Amino acid sequence: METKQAVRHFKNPILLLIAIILIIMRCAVPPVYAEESSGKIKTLADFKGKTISMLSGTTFDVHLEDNEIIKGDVKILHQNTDVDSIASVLSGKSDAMIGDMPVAEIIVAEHDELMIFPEVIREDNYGFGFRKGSPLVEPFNEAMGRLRSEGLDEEMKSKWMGKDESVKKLIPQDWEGKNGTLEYWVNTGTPPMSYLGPEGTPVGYAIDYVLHVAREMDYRVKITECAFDGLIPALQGGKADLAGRSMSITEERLKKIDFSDPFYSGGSVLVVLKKNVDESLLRTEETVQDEENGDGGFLSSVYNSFYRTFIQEERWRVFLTGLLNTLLITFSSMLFGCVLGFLLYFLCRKTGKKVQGVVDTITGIITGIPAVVLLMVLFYIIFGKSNISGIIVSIIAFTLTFGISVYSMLKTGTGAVDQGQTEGSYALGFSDNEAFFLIILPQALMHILPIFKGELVSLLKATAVVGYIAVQDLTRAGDMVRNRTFDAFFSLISVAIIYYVIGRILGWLINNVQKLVDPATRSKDTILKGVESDD
Amino acid sequence: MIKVVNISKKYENDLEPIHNLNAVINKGDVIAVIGPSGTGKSTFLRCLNMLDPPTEGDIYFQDEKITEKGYDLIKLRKRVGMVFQSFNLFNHMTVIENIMLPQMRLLKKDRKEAYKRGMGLLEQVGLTDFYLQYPGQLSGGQKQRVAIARAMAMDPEVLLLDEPTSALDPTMVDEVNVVIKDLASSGITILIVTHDMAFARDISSRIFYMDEGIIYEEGTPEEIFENPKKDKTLQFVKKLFVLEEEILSRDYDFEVLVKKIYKQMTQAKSIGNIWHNSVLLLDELINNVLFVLLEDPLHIHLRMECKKDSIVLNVEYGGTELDLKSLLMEKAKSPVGTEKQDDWLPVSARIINSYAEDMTYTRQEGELRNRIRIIVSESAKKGRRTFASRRA
Repeated sequence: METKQAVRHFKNPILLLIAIILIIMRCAVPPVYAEESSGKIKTLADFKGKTISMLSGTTFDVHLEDNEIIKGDVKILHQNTDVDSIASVLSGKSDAMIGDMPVAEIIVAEHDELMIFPEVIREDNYGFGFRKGSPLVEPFNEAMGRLRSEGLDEEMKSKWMGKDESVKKLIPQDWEGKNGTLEYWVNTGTPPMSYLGPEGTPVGYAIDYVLHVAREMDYRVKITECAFDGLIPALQGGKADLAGRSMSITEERLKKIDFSDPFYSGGSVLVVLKKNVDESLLRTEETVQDEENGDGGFLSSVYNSFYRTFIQEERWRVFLTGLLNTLLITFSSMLFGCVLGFLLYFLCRKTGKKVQGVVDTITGIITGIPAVVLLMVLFYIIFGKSNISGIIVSIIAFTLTFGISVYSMLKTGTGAVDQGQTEGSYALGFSDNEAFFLIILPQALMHILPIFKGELVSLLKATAVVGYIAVQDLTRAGDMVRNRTFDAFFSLISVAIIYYVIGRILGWLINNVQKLVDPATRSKDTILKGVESDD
Repeated sequence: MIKVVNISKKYENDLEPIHNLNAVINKGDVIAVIGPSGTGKSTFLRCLNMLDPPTEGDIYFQDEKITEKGYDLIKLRKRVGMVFQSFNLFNHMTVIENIMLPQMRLLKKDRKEAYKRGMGLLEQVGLTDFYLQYPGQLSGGQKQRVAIARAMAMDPEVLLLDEPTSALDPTMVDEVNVVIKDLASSGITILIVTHDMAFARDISSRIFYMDEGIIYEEGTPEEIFENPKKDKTLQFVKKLFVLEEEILSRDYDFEVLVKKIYKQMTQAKSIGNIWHNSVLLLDELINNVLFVLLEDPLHIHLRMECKKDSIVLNVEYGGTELDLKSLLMEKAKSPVGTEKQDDWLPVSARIINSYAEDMTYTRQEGELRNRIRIIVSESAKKGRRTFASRRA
């Protein structure tokens, strides 16, 4: 009996899915070491020919090229976040990850099996990025210079790089800001420079630094969280006045943007698995730890991940905000998309083939552009100068794409209704509109709704790219939390489950709508309402 | 009531099914539009309610020029009902809703009124029990009856029927034809495009024979079917009533011939039983007489001609002189019950004799072919007893 019941449980697809995911996590969470490299790493030269992960959009590849010993003789894996790089090293997909010193420090503190390789790839300076020719650079540098001479660097280092978590708070913006507001765009995910604080807002060394300088200049600061790849476009497009948290000052970047004076000097270092390096490099008290440290097994490790991902610092709020934004964008785009689709369809229906040709060309162009590109073009180019929120731009972009699918669904759906239905309506004396709304559309809906269901779920999933324009949606929320917990898998899988569940709910809703509008489901009483009372 | 002046219809692909067509339709006319395929019969009908507006020429409905630009076509179509070959019932509505919706939307009747009228019409077409079914649940014949009821619910002044039974299974043709016949006798003006000649002849007061893009010849059913004046009409009508067949082998499949005969019958069955009698007669004549008496090589030529109340069979066969008429007459005279085993000739002769009204045998001097002409008519029924005794 018990097994039967268990089987019945697994008929519920969600339970089954969760079970599968837990099994995957069981396999995935403990690092899977790739083949043991024959020789252990002793010097920098041993990294030649190895695979190294780096954050895409950064300049670490240039550093590796410039390095006297390595001279670029490595395979580079581009990763979207540092967490992905860590996961890559842990799983053996890459032999090391390259990162900035402050980031590396935090990473090895979180992961006992990792260490910073002693030889540095390149000394490095961080600056804040400004739009090319920005008049703000000079006053910013002046103010920063004054503060540094008063000992700001020491104060910040002791505050943000120390052990005491309680002091790690941004200074409150309690000054007037006579000179206006600075738009400061920053990516999170690299403690201590910039990361998601307990309230789910960005905090960190670099942000606090900007606030101090802004106070000195008497500007208020508006902080916007954005993916790293979006920072330079945001400066160029005029969305941001300054940007960055640990952006290295490089020749290449100087062609596109201006930099402030460096505010922090660090360096690029490699993070590697301890077990892969020669023991002489390990500090005496450190030995390679065993994989299993036996602290409670599988369930408690899942609980720990759950606690860190959702409960600690009330991170569920980040997910909730993300979820609400995702839903807002999805539903608004669906509604406006339907309106747009109908308008396009009617435009074509009422006018001749010429208009239809124009509409088909435009829709063809928009359909041909990937959603991310469309989104970025809208945000940085078309609405680049206007102060329009990312959510609105996202809704506009997805209204366009969804509107076009509604348009083609209508074309296909009405095309599937026999031409005779239209002829029959006209012959009785129905007008064009009556024929469409009373006869054609109700029948076409039966063809359209099943496709609509699929398209809507696709729309939901497609909105996952809005993080590119600084909208904090569900996917971005997952990334932000992931960057904070350095737990590579749990938040990803949580996000996947949430998307899946919403997708199911949407499907269920559309199924019900279909049942509601299906004429064959009406009862006799509905059909004969008000006709048989005198029988 | 309707006057059609010099209309032409040219499609984008340069096809011109109608060219300079003229016609006058009077109130109360029941007009059957007949003619070979592709001669614009349906197009003509669809011009009349402007579903396919003519590209040239004018149509007047009750002295209003409906081909005028900006004429209120909705007003026109409410007064001109149409029944399609493909029914075109609204699939997402029940039968009663199909009939109610146009009344409510277009005639502004309230639900109760529309329902009452709808149920009344369903009773007329014998489908009251089906009022809550969806079109998908009905047979073709039922669908077409609903379509007719729906068109009639609008109280049209003219009813256009575009091949109403062509898409139907033969077994369902009659149920629809009965309904249409009912309408025809009710006094409403009707135009019906049909390939069912017997039906056309049966119900219509006028026939439009269409060919060459115009109404090539028109007249009463008698004029068109009995005495067509023009060449093409004559050929068309002749084809309807004449069947020719060559029989060259004893393996000939008689069933094929029977099928051909019955197909012809559906077009011109105004003379009921005779077809059946002819088939029985032919069965005996070919299988039991000619196949037995003739020597190889076989060459039998058969020509059946359908007259108003008789069928004329012309049978030609080769070989030496063989006066079938005398032979059959003589054999038929031999008393019943004296047949020898393996000699069915007397029986066959009696059957043929009983169905044949008249028989003539000819063989021209110097010709190698025999000819026998047999007339079969309804009244010839005397052979039934003999036929039955043979089976016993």
